[in-house]
Amino acid sequence: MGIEFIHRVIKTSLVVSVILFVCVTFYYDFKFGSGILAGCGWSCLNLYFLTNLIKEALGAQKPKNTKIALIILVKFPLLYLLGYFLLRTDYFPVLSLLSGFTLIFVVIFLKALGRWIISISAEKQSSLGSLEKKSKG
Amino acid sequence: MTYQIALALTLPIGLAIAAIGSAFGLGRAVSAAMEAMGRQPEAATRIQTGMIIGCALLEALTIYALVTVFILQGKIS
Repeated sequence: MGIEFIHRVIKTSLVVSVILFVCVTFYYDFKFGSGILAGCGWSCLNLYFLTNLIKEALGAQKPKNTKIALIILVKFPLLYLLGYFLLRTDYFPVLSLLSGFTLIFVVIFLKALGRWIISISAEKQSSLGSLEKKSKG
Repeated sequence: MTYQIALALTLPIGLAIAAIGSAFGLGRAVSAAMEAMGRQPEAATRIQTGMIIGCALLEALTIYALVTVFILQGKIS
């Protein structure tokens, strides 16, 4: 489980948010659907910048100060300001923004659950295989 | 005391408590991760990924508190 896990989580969340946007727009409301999309997009950007910041600051190679400063400058004032404006515009319902924001954590949880279930089943299979070998031997 | 005054008094305190709790959590998580990376450099990528997810979750808790404050702030006036 490396950094590529987080990149996959971001991609999956974006795909799920687009699907949710289409479904919610079709069955409920366009504003609510676009709020989910906006919230998820904001959350994905936030996680992307956080990942890059930690990777740059704590990675194996020598940290580049300009890149770290640029990430901090984009993440903290600009991205948070964007979130503030998303909340203050009153165009998107707050619940939809929060649902979109939470979506990425749901994806992380489900992916982790999937990996756990796969590891359990792999362990069971390996133990069954070793038992069969013992019984044959 | 009307509920507006109660809100005006408690919202900043609640947000401050959430921010302080989140800061302590982040500090502990990152320090434990750095310690673990120092002990086991071969597992650094796994530890880093776990730390990033933990940081994102902790940050999300503060953002939830912030959003709640923004929503309730509109009810003060």
